[in-house]
Amino acid sequence: MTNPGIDPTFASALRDRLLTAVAEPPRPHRRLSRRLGATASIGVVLAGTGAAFAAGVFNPPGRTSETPQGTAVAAAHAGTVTINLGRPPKSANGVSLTLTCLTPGTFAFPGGTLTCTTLEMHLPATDRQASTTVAIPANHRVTVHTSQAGVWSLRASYVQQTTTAWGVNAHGQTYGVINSHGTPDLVAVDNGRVAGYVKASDMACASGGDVANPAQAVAWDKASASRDISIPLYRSNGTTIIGTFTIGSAHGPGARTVRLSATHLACAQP
Amino acid sequence: MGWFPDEAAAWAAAVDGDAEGFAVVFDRYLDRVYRHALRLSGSRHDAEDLTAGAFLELWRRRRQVRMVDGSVLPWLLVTVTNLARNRARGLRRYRRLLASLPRTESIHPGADDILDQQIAAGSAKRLQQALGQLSASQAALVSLVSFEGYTPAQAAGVLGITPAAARTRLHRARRRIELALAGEPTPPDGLLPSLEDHPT
Repeated sequence: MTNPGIDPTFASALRDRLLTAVAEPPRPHRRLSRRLGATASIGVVLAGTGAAFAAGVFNPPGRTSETPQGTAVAAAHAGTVTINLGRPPKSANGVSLTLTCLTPGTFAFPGGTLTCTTLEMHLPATDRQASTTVAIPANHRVTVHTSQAGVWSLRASYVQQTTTAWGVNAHGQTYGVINSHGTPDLVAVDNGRVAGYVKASDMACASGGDVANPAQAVAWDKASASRDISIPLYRSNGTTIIGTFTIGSAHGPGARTVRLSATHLACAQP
Repeated sequence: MGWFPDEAAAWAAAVDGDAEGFAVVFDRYLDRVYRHALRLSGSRHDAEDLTAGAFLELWRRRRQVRMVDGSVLPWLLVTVTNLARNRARGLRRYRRLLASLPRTESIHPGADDILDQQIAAGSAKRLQQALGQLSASQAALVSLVSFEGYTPAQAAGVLGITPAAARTRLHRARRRIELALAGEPTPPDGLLPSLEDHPT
């Protein structure tokens, strides 16, 4: 029996799609924080380790909830367009924005940038979105910047955000989630098996927070490619260890996880 | 067209966003991957989907791909095997993309049926069923060694196991396939002889 070859029409189209995807620039942002003022670097660190401090059953203090105020605005446009959101209700203190790309391209809007590739055009809309909540703009307008060929849709609604207070343990340490007020002493995380808190100082150190100059940054990048760092996971009392939390995205045959205390990082020393 | 001294260089360039590097890998292995998919699926349409899925996974998981002897082919073949074992789940993320890719209309009605019959005549269907009874690592081992001509040591490199473990698992997997093709029930692994039991 002769072994038939692959359908050339199918193969050619597949090849084109793949090569287009390879040549497209990587997207700088995907999911954006839904919290006012949350720092992007922390969000990236946690997302990269598969953790979520705002997830599910764990309900740490300091969380922010949103309640829609007024009517949402939804529109689809091509190219750079400014949208008038109208006057905000008095009760609103933020604007929730969800941007969806309808063609490949890079789309900048308040709070971040969304880049979509050709391959992703076939994903559900929820996989081609970036969501964020920002402070109410002074002129009540939001601009989406993109090329003339870029087609997108935006849903915007005024919201009222309310943030609960962080907890304070017996040692006077604040604990909870990172929010618009900053970072508590003990930051809520979930390592996939157990939820708890890590010391903000440990997290900063394991994330490269002690880098003081470009040479150190280069050395950090090199080390991080093959090494993840685990830090202790505590109860809210800040002393009872209940597990570890791993920071990093090392990959490849030599990838390994080391304890923060076993590194030579200056910030790891007591 | 860019020039690359070897496949490893082409693949390294591809990972950095060089489409020509990826094209080298795609063009080199498209037929091999498709033939393997055809053998496992027994259907031309399914084999096309599996082939596309393997290359799409190659790009999506480009930073985790394990090269063997400077080649990504073993990784591609294992990926096809894994996708074939659970096609619906493995290809779910590419469902819309696969549906959008154009395909040549059959010139003669029923041509695919005839093709499928030809493939079935080569025991593809029975082989597919036999492979379905293996664990994922056993199926990958059989695919690489029995179908694609890799040594057990090379296959072990792809799967991250020792060569000795690969030989043992391969022996059991082959025995299991023989029983399945003969229409006999296959006992659990623990009841199958290992290489250590019957050195050759």
